[in-house]
Amino acid sequence: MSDSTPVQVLLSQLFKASGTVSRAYYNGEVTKDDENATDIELLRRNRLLAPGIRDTFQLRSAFRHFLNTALSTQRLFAVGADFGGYFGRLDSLITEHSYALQEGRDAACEQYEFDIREAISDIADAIDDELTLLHALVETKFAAVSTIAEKRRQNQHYQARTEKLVTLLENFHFSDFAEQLAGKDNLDLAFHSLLQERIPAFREQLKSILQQLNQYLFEFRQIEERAQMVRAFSLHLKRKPDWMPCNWDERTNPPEWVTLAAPIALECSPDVAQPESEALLREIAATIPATADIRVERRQPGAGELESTETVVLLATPPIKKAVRAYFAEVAGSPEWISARHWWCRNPSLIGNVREDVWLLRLLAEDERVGVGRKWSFRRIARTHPVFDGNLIISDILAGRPGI
Amino acid sequence: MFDQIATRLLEGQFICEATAPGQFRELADPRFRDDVDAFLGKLKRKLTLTPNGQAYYATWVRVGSDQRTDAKRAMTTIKQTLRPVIQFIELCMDSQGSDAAPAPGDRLDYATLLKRVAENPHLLERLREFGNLGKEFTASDASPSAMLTKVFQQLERAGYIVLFNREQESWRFTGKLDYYYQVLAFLMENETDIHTEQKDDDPESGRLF
Repeated sequence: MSDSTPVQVLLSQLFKASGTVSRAYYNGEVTKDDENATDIELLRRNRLLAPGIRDTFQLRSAFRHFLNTALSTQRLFAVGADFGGYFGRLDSLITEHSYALQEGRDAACEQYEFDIREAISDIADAIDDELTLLHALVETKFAAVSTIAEKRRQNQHYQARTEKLVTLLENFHFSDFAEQLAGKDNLDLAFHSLLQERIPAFREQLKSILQQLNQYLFEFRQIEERAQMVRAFSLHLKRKPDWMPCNWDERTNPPEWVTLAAPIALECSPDVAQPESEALLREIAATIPATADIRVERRQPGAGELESTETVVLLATPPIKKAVRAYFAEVAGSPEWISARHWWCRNPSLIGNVREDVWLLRLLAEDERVGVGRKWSFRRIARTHPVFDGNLIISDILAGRPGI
Repeated sequence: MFDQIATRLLEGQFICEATAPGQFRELADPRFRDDVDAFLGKLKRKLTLTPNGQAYYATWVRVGSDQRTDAKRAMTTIKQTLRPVIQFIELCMDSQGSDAAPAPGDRLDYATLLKRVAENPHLLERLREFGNLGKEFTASDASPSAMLTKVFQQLERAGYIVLFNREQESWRFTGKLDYYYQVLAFLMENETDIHTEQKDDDPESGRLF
């Protein structure tokens, strides 16, 4: 003989008919055929399936409601829990329990205590389920419906329901229950821990949801107004293709949207004298290639090619290198010393954006690089540094042809 | 964070949840906002928030003779963007069959929009109409994808949409859209011919809400 309880038996039967239950839940109904006939009879015997129209069957509301809650399924204008009924039942059970206690009916007392605990759990669970549902709706902004008008109506429905629940939780006299249950340890504890202590948190959460729903209502109205405005403005532009707004910028007090401040192009240069920047600057300097950039010319997409298909590599000469060559070429042809700084001033097109100090340093470097093979004479206009021994402050460089 | 926000504002950019979420959230702190405003004040600018709080930007504290050129430039930009942006908003609304105008932060899938436009001759015609708005909206070829890409590029350049997922080609409307709606609302209310036209068309509009 089996030791299974009725709950286990029911669940095992449900497991056998799970396919049919699932189809009935998701399709809203199921049609009887040879394959599911046994399942349907089983579910009907357990009062989980009810006849629908045209030989179809559908899940009974209590079972469907259980599945909706368990699966957190959104239903449009979902029926909320009957909180009034729940509280009324709890009230009746507590009263009957008192009578049974006074009349010494111990067995009835036990039964009432069991039901009171269940009623307390029912209320707490119902509020919790309601909060879960409302949270989901609020988070998705009523995603189950598409138009703004529908969303607005859904919003109003849930707003009214939440308001009622908040009012109920604010006005209900829980102290009456607490007094009646005082002295009955288990019931008192269940009432306090499952319900009374959680009520303030429930109330706060519901108020926050209500605030959110009020905000949504405002937003939905705004979205509708905005859509109307867009359509109306677009219609106006279509009717008058040449229309232009007035020059609102010319008014004495122009509207705020026309007072946009002019963008500023911000550009900064690093301070090379800062010791703390040295490591970073050195890192940047290391990434700059020492040789000239190589530019590779490739065939343009779609362009024909008549001769060689080989890639042509062109070495791009930096402007400063061209300037150095031009300077020394001029020096070679001149009978006089030529000041590097004067040359820098005279040839801005060749120099480009190279700074004067960089120009002098570059000439010194070029002179050192070429060494004995140089074809010019070099004179530095310099003085010693007043503080740092061994350093020179170069104010100009003069170059002339050899032997000048 | 302060330097990034100040730089962005001085460069004339809008700060919103879609373009710079961290900076936008930082500006939610009133004390921080006051600091930014004080800094801008030294440069004759102030921190301004769009009407629905969707984006921050810098405006002149006072529009004097020195700032008239900038005001003119802002007005010219508005004149140039009025038609393309409204056409784009309508294209988005019609392609989704929605009665809601897009809001800042709303997602915009390039691929979905392109598919709907390519399948619907009416929407395709609407897309072609962008070509009449100037050469910056004229695509190199007449394919729907080339035309739509061009429109997206221009809207991005104007700061109304931003790419947030390159792989999925997902875009978002920026907070600058709130600024655009502000301009639209102002013109609807203050431009005499639109106002009169509206009244003639829909005498009951005021009763809707």
